[in-house]
Amino acid sequence: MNVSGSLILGFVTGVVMFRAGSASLTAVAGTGFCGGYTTFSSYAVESVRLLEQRRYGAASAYALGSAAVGLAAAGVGLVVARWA
Amino acid sequence: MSSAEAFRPEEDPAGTLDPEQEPGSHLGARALVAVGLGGALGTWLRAALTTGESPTSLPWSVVVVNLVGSVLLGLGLETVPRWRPSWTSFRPFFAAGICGGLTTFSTFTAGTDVLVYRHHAATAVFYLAVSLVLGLAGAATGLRLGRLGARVGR
Repeated sequence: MNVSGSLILGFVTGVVMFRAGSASLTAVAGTGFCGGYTTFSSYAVESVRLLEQRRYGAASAYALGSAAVGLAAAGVGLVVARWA
Repeated sequence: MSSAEAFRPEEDPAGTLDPEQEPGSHLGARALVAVGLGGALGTWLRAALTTGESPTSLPWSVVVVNLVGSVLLGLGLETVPRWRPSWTSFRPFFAAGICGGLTTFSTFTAGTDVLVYRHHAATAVFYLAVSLVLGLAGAATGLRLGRLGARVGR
């Protein structure tokens, strides 16, 4: 869910940056929808719990993997908004 | 037995699942209202604090809301279910709702990418590092403090 939210927000940001999207688009779809339905707190707590259980491989994969995939997804959204 | 022990750790790494709830069941009406209300409050607070950040500099307000939300979630999960086990709306209201709304993963990832796009790669890397380090440290601190509080409060 954090990944799909990143993808959508990347796209919305791109629309605003490259295609003169409106401020209310940012508010509703960006800050509201994507910002609301993605969560950093659960991601952080889950990562820490995995570390506490000494599941270091799972913790790294989850923490770094989520960040990497999220960054990639947002990037895809931006690219699609720019070039599609 | 505290509800925190009802699931095996690998089933519930974040301790956010509710052992009272049937697996595969749908969100009940009360939980739905709780998530909506908590989510709205958390999101409004985040919007108020983070609007107006520049896309070309490190958005400290996003780092702060993510840090605060992570600390609060850790703290809340280790304390309230022990103190008020009958408050079944707590997890949807507080974990999914308030903390879920206050913190954001999408703003953080999209913001990092935009910084790179705008040729501020060093700022992007720093933003990424600070967000992860502070967020994880915050969650760990909240969880530790919560457990301490749960013990001291007896």
